[in-house]
Amino acid sequence: MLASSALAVDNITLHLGRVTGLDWSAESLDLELDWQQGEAASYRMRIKEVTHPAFSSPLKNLVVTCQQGSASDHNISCQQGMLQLNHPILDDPKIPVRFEWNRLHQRFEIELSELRFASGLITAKLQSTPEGWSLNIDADALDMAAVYSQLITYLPALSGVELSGKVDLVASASGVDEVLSRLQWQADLQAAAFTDASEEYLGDELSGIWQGNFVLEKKEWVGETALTLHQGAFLTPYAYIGIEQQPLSISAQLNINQQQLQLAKLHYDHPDILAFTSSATLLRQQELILEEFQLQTESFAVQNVYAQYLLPTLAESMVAHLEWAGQAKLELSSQSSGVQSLTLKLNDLSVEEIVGKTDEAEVEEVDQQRRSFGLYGVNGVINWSNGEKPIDSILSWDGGHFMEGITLGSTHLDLSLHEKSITLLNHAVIPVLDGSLALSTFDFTLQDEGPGFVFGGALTPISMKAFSQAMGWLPLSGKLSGGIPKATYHNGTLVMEGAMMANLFEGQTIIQDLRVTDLFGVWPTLQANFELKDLNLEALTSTFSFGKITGKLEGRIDNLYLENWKPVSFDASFATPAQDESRHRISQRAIDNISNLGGSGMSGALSRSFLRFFEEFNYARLGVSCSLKNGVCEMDGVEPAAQGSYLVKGSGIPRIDIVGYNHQVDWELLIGKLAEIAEAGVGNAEFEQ
Amino acid sequence: MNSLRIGSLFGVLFLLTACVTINIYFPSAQAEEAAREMVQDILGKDDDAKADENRESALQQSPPLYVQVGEGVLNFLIPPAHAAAPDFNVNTPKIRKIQAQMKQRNASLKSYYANGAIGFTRDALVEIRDASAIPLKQRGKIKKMVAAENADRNALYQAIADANGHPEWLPKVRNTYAGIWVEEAGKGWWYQNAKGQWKQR
Repeated sequence: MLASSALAVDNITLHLGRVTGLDWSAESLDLELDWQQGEAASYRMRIKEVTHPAFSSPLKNLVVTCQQGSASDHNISCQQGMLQLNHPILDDPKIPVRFEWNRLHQRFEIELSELRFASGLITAKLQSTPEGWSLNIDADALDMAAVYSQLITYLPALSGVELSGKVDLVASASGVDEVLSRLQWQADLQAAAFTDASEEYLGDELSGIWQGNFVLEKKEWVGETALTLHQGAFLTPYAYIGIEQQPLSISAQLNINQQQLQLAKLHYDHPDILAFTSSATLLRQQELILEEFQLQTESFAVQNVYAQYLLPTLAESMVAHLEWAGQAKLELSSQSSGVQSLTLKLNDLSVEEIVGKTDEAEVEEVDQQRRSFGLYGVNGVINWSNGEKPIDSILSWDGGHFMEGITLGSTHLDLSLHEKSITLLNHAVIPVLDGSLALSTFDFTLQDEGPGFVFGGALTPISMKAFSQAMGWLPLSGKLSGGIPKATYHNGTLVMEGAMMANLFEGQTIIQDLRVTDLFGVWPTLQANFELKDLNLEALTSTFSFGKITGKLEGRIDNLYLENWKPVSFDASFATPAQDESRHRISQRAIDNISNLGGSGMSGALSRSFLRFFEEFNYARLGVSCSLKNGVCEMDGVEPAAQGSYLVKGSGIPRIDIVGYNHQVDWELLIGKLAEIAEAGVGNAEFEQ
Repeated sequence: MNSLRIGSLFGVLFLLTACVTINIYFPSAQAEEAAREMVQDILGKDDDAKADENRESALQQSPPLYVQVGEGVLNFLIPPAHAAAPDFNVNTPKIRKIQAQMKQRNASLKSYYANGAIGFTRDALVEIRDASAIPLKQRGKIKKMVAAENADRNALYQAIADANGHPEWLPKVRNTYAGIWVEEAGKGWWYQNAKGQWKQR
């Protein structure tokens, strides 16, 4: 040890060379002693390099100046000293130091106080004996960005991550030789923020306590960690977690060995939003692989989870405009191949879809909101499985609605959810308005392009009055019923295959080639062809308050195309059937109204003439055709007249013909007039004598 | 003689250059008006706002005199080919649907146009230029909306070009819209100039 010495009266310089302990070493140690009484000494020590397992890299070019120390053959100590260490991570190279080295007992102890690092202050104490070593660190107000910039060289996997904020840290570690065997910490985070390289995972303004306590037992790290946050927010691509009124706490027990990382008793508790327990096993391969995962929530308010966690990340999605009430409970089990099973218990749930709703909607925009779908009193147990034999599910609701006014009644469904499909197990009846939709088949599949379903069934009579009111149309009479052989919904488009029949105004309406796009979206469109047979005009006109007309009517509406439920184009024609033998009578009021619609300009004349004494007139044929395009209805009657065309061709005495002169009718005005007639229920027409 | 020839050559070259310049004054005012009305509808501008401000539309500026003269002479010498310009009055279900979607989305985006988080780019799209101006809670949603808005804008320009029967007119349509978005942007909104630098209205 004693490499060389230079004798003087009160000053000795020792070149000690390499000094080693069990787990540490100091290279090129020079000691300059100012001899005092006994073993008391003040001295200066220069070390070229110090290595210790607790240091991630050797410390270089240390100078220790000790004002108050002692030195003997077996012992070097310093009660009051100053360590000078030039290292880029240190804000100040001068660090007050206290240490003691006992050669006999191979014991070394060093305490650094007021170590200025990362804009903060650190006190560190390292004790080393042949039995082992321990390191205690107490750090105040460390700047996490500065800490991170130092750590990044050792953790290249974290490159691209941005960190900021302050942290107070109390940590202790102990071990033997190079082996760390116990680690304990408590970090007090203040306004911490992080962003990952992809900027998809972010944390902001996070304040709280993170603690951990781990020991190495039989080559396995065992311990627990807990995080309690009082403030801040996380954003991931799937959820936003904002900590506002109530703190968020997460705790878990961990076992980590060479092969795997086991998380047990993971408790997540965000009061008033979500609480769950979970366990997981992750394999430590080149990257962590989730081998097993279980999750069980406590009963949670769906609206809170939806609005607080999910909604902030939902946009441009079919489920981005929902409002919920009620509770749910979720159990989930997952393996490396993906989620294996899921059980969702619904307790008195309600859901309402409001299209056109935005967070920033201004008052004048409220009228653009539309309640497009809702279900109330939803209960059930939904069991979904992947691979295994499916367990049956039950779903029921007390009521609901489709679009603004099509009410849905109490329904019970037995379902089977398996892999990417949902199948109806038994026939189900969904009350719709005053009738019902009997579902014989229903198959839902989740495909890459989005959800799709196929269903078949029948509509048991729904009154057209209720249906038309629900659709905001002019009130219609009759019944809507018929079979739906097959309807498919795929990629936002609903297509009805085959023909649907409706008993409308005592006749038959055949609806074919029905196709609805963007059903739940901003801009729904509908295409269909209608064929109408044997309509009873008396039934039709009485519901329209149009003025009584008797007789039959037949016709077609081809290429009907609606956008946002408003007609854009169609080719329609209606007329008295050629071989109709029913009684053809038309009332004075109906004549008035038709005259108005045809633009014949005879308003009110009829009631001022002698014909006012006749309630009804006979007609031979009546009819109208309208081809709508670009807001213009190309209108025609039942047969050509001298000028224009006959809308009503009279017969008998007194005979009245109604001739339409105007071929190009503004559709909006026409609809406006029809609506006026339906509302007022009174027409006034004039006629030419 | 030679100098005269060279002079004539320069003259022709000058006129040809003038011809290229003229092409910038495309498309017709009426055509652009339809595009402008669409943008105003999407941005939720009411009619009063339409007649506002001193729009610096390239359309409304008269070409410099030498260009006008050049154009006249050139038109006399070489009968002008029919200037191909998209008809912005085209209206297809696809265009109407995209317009409805953009109008709906604008309700969510406009406050971020106003606070500078999102700006109008020179290629007639939108871009998050200052994510920190979007509260973290909204950031994920707005990011998705910006992506969807750009998908819609690209689809809209293509739909207009397609409806004209000239899918290759996409750049022309895009250029016209790029100008209109900026002109119709509210006061204080950010946009990219031709060099791609952010400027504020």
